[in-house]
Amino acid sequence: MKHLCNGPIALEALLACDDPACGAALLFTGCVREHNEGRAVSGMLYTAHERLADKALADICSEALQQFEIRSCRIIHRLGELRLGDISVAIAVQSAHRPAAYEASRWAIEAIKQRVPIWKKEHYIDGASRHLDGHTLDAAL
Amino acid sequence: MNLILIPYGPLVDVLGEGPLNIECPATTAAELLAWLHQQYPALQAWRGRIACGLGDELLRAASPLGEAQRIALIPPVSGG
Repeated sequence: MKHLCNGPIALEALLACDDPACGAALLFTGCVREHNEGRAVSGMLYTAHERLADKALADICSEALQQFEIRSCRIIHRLGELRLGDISVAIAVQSAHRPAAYEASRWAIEAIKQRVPIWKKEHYIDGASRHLDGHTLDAAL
Repeated sequence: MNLILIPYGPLVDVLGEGPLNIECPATTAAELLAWLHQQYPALQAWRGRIACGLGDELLRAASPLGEAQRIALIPPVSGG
């Protein structure tokens, strides 16, 4: 799967750029936070429908290229058990000028949260775990 | 019709890891979900919030189902 991985995300490779037309290279990373909704978090499990998730992430990259004045958009989402501070998702956007890179990156993370079949299950320091509620897909019946 | 259901995300907590082999009268994706809600009252919280996947495609309400297909049950997503 091109957009999914089971270990640490290779950020340097994601941000590598050999396009001299790019004056901006922007990297967004989402990390596992130590608290959520008043509960102390100890870790996070990410699972996915891998075929659908990989396809949805590829679609988001393609749509970002069409909608914004950017030169490239790369997204990697990590799956499996993550610890506090681990990077769960990385979005690298390159463009001639910085405004488009910021806009595209912001758009892409919101699209990921709304459209990609990936689920997070939080683990808490008291030993409990729970899946978080999420966004209903447009295709839901 | 015989179908194989694969639950994802929080649906695993309700239906188990799967796959679930079922025999049901549904011929479309919408009919399958209606049947599932009848059979599994614990799915009530997800009424209108589950999508069906086949291969790398999401199904429409009227999408026809075929014998022995593997249908993914996709609840609300929470990646990022």
